[in-house]
Amino acid sequence: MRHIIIGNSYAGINAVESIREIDKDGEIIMISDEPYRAYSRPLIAYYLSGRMTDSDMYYREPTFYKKHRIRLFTGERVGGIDIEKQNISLENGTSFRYERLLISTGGKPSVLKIKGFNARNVFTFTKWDDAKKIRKFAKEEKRGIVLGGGLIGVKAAEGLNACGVKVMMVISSPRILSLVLDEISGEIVNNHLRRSGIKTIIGHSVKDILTNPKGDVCGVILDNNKRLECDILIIAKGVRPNIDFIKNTSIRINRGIIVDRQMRTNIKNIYAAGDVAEAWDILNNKNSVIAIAPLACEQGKIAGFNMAGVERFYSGGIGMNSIVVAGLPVMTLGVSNTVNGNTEIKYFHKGRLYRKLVFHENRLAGAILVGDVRYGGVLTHLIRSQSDIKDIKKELVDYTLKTGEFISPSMGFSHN
Amino acid sequence: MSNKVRNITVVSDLCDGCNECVRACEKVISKVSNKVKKKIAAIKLIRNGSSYFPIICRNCEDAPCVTACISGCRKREEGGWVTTNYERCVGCWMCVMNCPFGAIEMLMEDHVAIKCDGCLDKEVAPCVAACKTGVLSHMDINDYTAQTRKEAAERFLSGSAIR
Repeated sequence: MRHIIIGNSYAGINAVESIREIDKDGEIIMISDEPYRAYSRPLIAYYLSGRMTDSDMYYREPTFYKKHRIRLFTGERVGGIDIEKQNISLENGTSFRYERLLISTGGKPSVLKIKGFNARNVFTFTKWDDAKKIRKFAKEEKRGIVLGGGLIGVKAAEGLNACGVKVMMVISSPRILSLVLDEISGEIVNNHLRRSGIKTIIGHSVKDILTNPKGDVCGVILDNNKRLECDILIIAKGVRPNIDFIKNTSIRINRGIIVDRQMRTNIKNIYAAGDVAEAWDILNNKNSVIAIAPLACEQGKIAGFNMAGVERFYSGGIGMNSIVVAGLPVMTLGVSNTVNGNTEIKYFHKGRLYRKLVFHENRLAGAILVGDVRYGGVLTHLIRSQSDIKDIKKELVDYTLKTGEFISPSMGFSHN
Repeated sequence: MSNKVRNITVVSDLCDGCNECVRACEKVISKVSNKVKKKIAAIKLIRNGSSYFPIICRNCEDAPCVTACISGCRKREEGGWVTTNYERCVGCWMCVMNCPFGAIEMLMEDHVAIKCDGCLDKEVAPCVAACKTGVLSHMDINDYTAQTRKEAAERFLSGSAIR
């Protein structure tokens, strides 16, 4: 059996670990367009800030590929897939036949198609190489502008700030991290960021990028005609599934690659997992792309087992994130900032501490925790399992529930 | 890779809340990494009315803390226990967000998420050694269930279960 995995990050690595648990002899080929062995993508912000060294970045030990008998091709891009012949071809002309194929190519940053976006001091911020390039520009006293107030924008701003760059975030949404934070938590996080030295402009977008005679970007013009100057510009306007190379195949795509509970696409020996996949979303009751590391790992594992012939089913994911913004821990779980008719919301707010629970009938649908995120996993678990919380609602609201020990008999977690 | 098979079994109805396990853990856990500066334990007692319950890592079969770890600092040892390489922990709290048992402690300033790593280098885990009531033991889970079944059967046969 020959397994080919396109992509070498969380989903791919977890998949090959599962494959090897079952299939000791099969052949495994991994293909990555980056020049590195697997590293931890979210750590690029720490790397930029100088908190991580090169060797801290790797997700697995150096012997990983040898130990799992994997042929790793780095710096190679896949040009196309021939589904009939079960063949993938690299852009360099080489091609490989597969028996099982996993597409775990992750996401790629959206770019602004306005003049100046490809100047040499304009960057996106999703890969290690981005952080390396930015490091060269991010010197003390330089001025940096970050476009976008999502997770990537916040992390990029923090990284630049740690380098001594004077950072301005330009956020077109009505608040920071607008997809997951509500008004109050957005305000807390925004104030906290500002105290750490990062300036923010909220509710305005960029109309024009200004370049100097050398072709470098030197500033931006906002929609209110305000002009901001900069030496470095980071575009953090979201990420979308990296699926361009399969667009002319019969693999079913929507926003991402549509997969079933076994992470299988509509083609029976082709699987997809991670940020590229559109898999079951528990709270929205349909498939969606939820681009977060923990789900990429889970999906990768499930894909791997199924590729090796052992049936495993994905129980579905929820949107969730844990980030530390200038030292302030923030967790957002499930449906955290939208309201509909049947929803009951409980708040607690005192200074930098904020807690919001969103109940939907007798189930927990979402939560926001700011400042104190302890036992967040208990809430995650209640949301993912959609357990009836009638009997523990008071404890949840009072935040006295510190363990899921007594409430998770049927949630599929077995003890050793 | 440690292939030491470790079981820490919790029989909670015996716990009297003496806190000796917590104190024993504090002494060893500060030594797992130079990064750990604050007093902390990887076991804690939860009080519910007059009864207590020790919360400790349950080594879930599909451990969410391992899957959720972005730096790859958590792994399952060959013997079955999930351990942590604290030098590689960055304090992102992804594991805290995913542990259903609330068994991971956060050291905010030190950027470390502490959980019970089983004290695999020791014959008897200090928390187990410190437990005077027999709540914590190194009994294998299968032996434990066999024992409870046997006790239940004995109670039944002696008539005490239907009194």
